[in-house]
Amino acid sequence: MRKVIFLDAGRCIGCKACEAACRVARSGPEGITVMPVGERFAVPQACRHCGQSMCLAVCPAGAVYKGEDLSVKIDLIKCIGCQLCIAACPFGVISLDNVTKTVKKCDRCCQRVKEGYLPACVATCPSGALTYEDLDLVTTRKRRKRALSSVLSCGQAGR
Amino acid sequence: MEQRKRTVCPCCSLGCGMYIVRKEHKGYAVDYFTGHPVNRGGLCPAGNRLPEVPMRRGRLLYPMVRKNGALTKVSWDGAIKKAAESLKKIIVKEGPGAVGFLCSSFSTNEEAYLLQKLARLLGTHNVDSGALPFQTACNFVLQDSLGFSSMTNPVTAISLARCIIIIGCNFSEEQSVLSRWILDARAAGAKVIVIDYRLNVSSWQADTVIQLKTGSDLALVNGIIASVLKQGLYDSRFILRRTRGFREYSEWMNGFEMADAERATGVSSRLMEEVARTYARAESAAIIWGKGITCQPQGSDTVSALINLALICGQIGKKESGLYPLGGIGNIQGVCDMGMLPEYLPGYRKVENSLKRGEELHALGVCTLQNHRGMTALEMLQAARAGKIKALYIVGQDPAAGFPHRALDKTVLNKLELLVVQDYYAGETMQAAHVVLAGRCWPEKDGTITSDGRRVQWISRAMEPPAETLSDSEIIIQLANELGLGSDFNFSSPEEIFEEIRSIIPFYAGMTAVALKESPGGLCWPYLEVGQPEETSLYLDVFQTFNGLARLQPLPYLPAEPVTPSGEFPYLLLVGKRLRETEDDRVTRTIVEINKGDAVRQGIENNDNVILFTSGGKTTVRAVITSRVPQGVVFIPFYNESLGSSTTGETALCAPVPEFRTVACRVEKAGGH
Repeated sequence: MRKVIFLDAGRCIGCKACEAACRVARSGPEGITVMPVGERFAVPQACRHCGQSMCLAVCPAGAVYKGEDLSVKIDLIKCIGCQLCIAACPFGVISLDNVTKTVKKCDRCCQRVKEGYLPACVATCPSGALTYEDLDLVTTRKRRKRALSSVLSCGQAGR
Repeated sequence: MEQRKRTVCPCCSLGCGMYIVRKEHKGYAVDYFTGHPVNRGGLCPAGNRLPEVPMRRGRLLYPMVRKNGALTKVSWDGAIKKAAESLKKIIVKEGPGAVGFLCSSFSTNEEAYLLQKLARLLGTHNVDSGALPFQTACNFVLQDSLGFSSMTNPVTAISLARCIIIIGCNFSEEQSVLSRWILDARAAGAKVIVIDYRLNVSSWQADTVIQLKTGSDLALVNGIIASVLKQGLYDSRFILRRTRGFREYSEWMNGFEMADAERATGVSSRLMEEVARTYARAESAAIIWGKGITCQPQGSDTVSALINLALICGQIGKKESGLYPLGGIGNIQGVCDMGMLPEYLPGYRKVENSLKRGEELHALGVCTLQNHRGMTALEMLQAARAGKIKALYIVGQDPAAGFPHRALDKTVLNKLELLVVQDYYAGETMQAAHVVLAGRCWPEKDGTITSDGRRVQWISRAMEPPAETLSDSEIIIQLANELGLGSDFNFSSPEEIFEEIRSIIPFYAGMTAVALKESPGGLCWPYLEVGQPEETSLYLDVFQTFNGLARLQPLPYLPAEPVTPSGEFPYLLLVGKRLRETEDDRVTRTIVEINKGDAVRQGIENNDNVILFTSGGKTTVRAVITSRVPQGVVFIPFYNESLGSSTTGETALCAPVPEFRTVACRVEKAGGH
């Protein structure tokens, strides 16, 4: 089973609690950032942990690797700070730690998850926009919602 | 070893549960309390930063006394003795009415209880809490018409409502955790109606957004009520069984002209009728209001109107429907429950109520108490200026920085013969203090707090306080001993103080310290007997008035003439909360939101420096062009910088007190960048 951090963008209120929590949990630059979109939406963005990771493909030092939970991680000892992964990442969610000169990104709070807690951004999200759950559950829920809304709209049209 | 302590976030008054974890060699960090009934683990950014609070700059580490003009370190005995002697001298010379006591919303119930007990044993009702000037007045409207000054249902019940009216309340940015319940309701099909002057983040979640003219809330609510009456949408069964005064009220509302409401609010009557239909026909409905309503001179009338609306539609006294006043911080509900108010003893018993007074004063051990209400915080400061108040004892508040009329306060504080400041950090007020008592801040406290929805929770000391500080209760107990009142302050732990509280306040009677510590989300009052099943919604059968019925009160149709911009000051200035854009407070602190049309007319571009003039002063800010504010209105944000500091700091710039939230102003482009 693959658990993912899933975003319901319609619920995000742009409060940036996830950024604050990420900073506390990882004591450094945040792995998640909230981007305001116009004056009506905000979208938190974090590493997607891609299946075919561009960052992994370009890393010359072999510092980017896949963990057991299929998350993409960075071995800070191997990282040479060349920033190729930053260039390759299509989402712009890898950043440079100015102190250590290595790259940093979301590791899906593997340590917290191992200890039985939720990832920090999910745990703190006050509006419930971020969830940490099985990919299958997410897709099932979306399909159910979709089905429900189409049935409802049929019902209204019939009236 | 990892130490994990349960506490409650004080950044707003919702009472979100959280943990503070101390890891070896790593310091303190927050963790999330996923099982908590209010927040399900969610925390806003401010909550995430709670462990930073005790470490903030200016932390007081030891008691100080002013000697030869400078504050110097003394022993605790010395500081307490000095405070007690000076207090005694002033009371003997001027009488107890010359002394005032202030406490903050960040005090625990025990601390607030002890402080008001001390004040009343000394013979004065001059006690007040950290509530904003108008807020308490508005909440007492609730008490007068329904019975209790609090939310009627727990916040989680919002998710059961099928129509939610949110008026004058920026919940997304001020009480972020509430958005979970509103969004849950919306996902289940609820209609969300947001009513405000400025299109803040809360309007993202709305099905209907109503942007009305500043200061016209009362006219709008009355317009909705008139539409309910006109269309016959009211719940006559509910009105018959649970209310009185409906006939007079509906006759009074007959005289209401929709055209006047349209003119005052700038909202079409069709929209008001639509809101009335949605609200009255919904199976269940909630009304949420906040500082946008309560921090106005006529706020209490608007609150009364909202209560009337709920009553005639029967959307109250059900588990799913209710009224949700918001806008407090910390333990404001608890501090008021404890009688930290000039007109109420603990448990909201009127000071003047002479029938019951004998027995209460007996419980308090008082014989020479005034039998009229005392002064509120603002009245105390005004009386200090007139020389009637000689001594102030301030716990955890910084009136010099936080109250409107900032300039006035400083000179006033210097006039006092005795100013005792008991706080955990050095604020502006301290500069005038004669005695400084180094107390503790929220995560270092032990005791109970009462949050919105009357939820009483136990907070335990999660962080180690500096060695030479004392807990606020200990300080008050030592002071009382020094004043010769020791026999009434014979407590050795917060548990013992809570025992006395529950013996005096009937609606706390069934709670015990053990039960509070055991239950994950605390217990909600009224909780009359030990072990009773918890009932979190109020007024399911009767209202807590003398005959169990709620009275429908005729109100003015329209608000008194609101602030009108004139030639010299053509804009209306709104003050509110806006989330910080960056980590640096100062950047977001110094912006002004201005409508695009106005900006073009004035030749102002995004990020230009502009000067903001009001009749009270001026400030330089950075312009942000937006469509959130309508033309003719500008908006500046303020911050609750972190715990205990100025929530109203920026209003000092513009406030004559009554026009608290809206002030006329002028914006000019600053010369050069």
